[in-house]
Amino acid sequence: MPPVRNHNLLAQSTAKPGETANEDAARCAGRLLAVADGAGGTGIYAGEWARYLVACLPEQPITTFEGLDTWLAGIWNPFFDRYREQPASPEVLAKFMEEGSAAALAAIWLPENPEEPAAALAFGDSVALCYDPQHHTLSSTHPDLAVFAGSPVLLNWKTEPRPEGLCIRTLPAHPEAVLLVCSDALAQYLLGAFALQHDDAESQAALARLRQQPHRLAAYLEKLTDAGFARKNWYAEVLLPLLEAAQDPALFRSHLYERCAAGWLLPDDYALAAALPAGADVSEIFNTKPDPVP
Amino acid sequence: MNEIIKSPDQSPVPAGGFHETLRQVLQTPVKSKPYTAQVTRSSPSAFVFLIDQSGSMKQEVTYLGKPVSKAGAVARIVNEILQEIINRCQKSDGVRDYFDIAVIGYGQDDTADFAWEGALQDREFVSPSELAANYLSVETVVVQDMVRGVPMERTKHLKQWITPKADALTPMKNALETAADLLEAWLVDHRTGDHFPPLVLNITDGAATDGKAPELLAAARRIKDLHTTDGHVLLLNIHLSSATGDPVLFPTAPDDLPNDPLARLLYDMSSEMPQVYHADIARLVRVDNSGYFTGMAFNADAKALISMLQIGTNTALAHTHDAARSQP
Repeated sequence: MPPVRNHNLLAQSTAKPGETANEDAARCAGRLLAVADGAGGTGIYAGEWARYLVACLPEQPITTFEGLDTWLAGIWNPFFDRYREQPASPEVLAKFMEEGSAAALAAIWLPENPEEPAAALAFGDSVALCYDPQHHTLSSTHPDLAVFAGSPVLLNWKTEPRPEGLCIRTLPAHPEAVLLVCSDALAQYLLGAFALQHDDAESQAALARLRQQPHRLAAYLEKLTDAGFARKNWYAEVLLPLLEAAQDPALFRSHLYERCAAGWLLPDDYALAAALPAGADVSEIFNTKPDPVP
Repeated sequence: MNEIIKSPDQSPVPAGGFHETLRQVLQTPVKSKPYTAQVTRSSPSAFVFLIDQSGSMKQEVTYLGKPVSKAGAVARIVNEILQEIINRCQKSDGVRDYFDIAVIGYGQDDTADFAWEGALQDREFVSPSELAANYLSVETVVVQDMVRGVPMERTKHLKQWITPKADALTPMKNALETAADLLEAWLVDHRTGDHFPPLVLNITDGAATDGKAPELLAAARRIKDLHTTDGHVLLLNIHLSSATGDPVLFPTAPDDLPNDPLARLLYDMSSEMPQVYHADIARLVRVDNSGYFTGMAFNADAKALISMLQIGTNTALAHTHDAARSQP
């Protein structure tokens, strides 16, 4: 796959604080950005499945549900054979056979021609995003935060994928755009912090409805609100430090763990892959842009 | 200076300071969005099962199409739930201890006592990894898994930790008080951090023989008043009544139940289910989300009993650190 010309790519993933086993995976290669979030609550070998999924993604974008179904049908069997035959306790094998292995997946394929949009795929609650610094807009496969309140549909080798789990769309890929894929906790951080800055009535009403719900997302949004995220400069205080930290695995980990300790990030494994404008120092990406936050 | 006693897994409790520490724990307010804490190995939750083992549990019922004693059916169901808890904690590198689990039986020798048997005998709380390693017996059955629409046979191991028992009276008050003592100690041990609240499931078929209604209500209130920062301990009562009447799960009002004094008492003893459980309950009982459900079942058949226990446990299980996600 020829490399992308207008963007620099990076990928990082780390286990949650206090854990060493990471069930998320991130990959960037050629024009592909991908993350997968292995589901620890359902099935087993979640991290292995997440790493397998991102490693098997094709060079060419998957742009339909049928394309996803065909791709998955072509890759699941070697994974199944490998872990069915791997020495394991009867309980592990039973869980593997009963529940399979499940993961959310998000990918962006950058276009060869920068005039064209990028192809984005998200299955479950991993997310593809595009930040346009010129207009301070954030496009996403998951514009509605409420999706993080429920149980996502996941990709499992054991069953055919369900159409309702899939979101396919295009994202702007012009040279100034920052494109990202990330697993759910990071997505809630980025999208939640961004949403808090919108003071239009519709956005505020949607957030207010979410905050009234009994789920963990509501508690999390309350924490972001209490921490003053509505007044923070999103790209200078949220996105930019994240991208800077993502240049190095240790910095990435400490950056996320600090935010987790502050309650700004939910404790979870984290995966991020991003495409940054080529030729720009990360710290200079937004220097010329006006600050939209009062 | 006070002598320091090291509690099992938390920071030391000042000697003689248990009641003061408990008082401080219970003075800490519940947060504004309760029942949202993540269950992790460093922030576990707890399950306490109270099982009526009185003589009346010998009565025969039909379970999965076969005649079996109430005690036998309850033992099978509790064993299934224990297996499910272990399964949710199972990772490829072992079983993670997200929960502390206790089983209290009441009836034998007219007292309530911890009901673990075999290698776990005399233990109070045990961990999922201890349960996984210490079972009484295992039954092997052949099951069929569907893999992408293709049936594949394999052997499955059904483990047993609890055996059916049915003898003597019904010291339910003693069981509730034993659970309250146990949970008070658990709260002191877990006084730091944000813990998903413990869940108490009481399965009974008869009237308590060691206390009148006000005493039982007081014992239940003592459990329900306990709380972590994430919410109050929940007490669910499952009434395997011999009285006639349609099964009732998670009633919204006392009038949903037959005019049976014991059923009404158990209703009053039960927790109001928090909002976080409502959607699952509404789906189970096929009603609109009324905004009020009581954690009780009357005359539940085996299937309904399993469903109720699953709702009780699944919400806690769904708060394990990876959040249980959609089944395939």
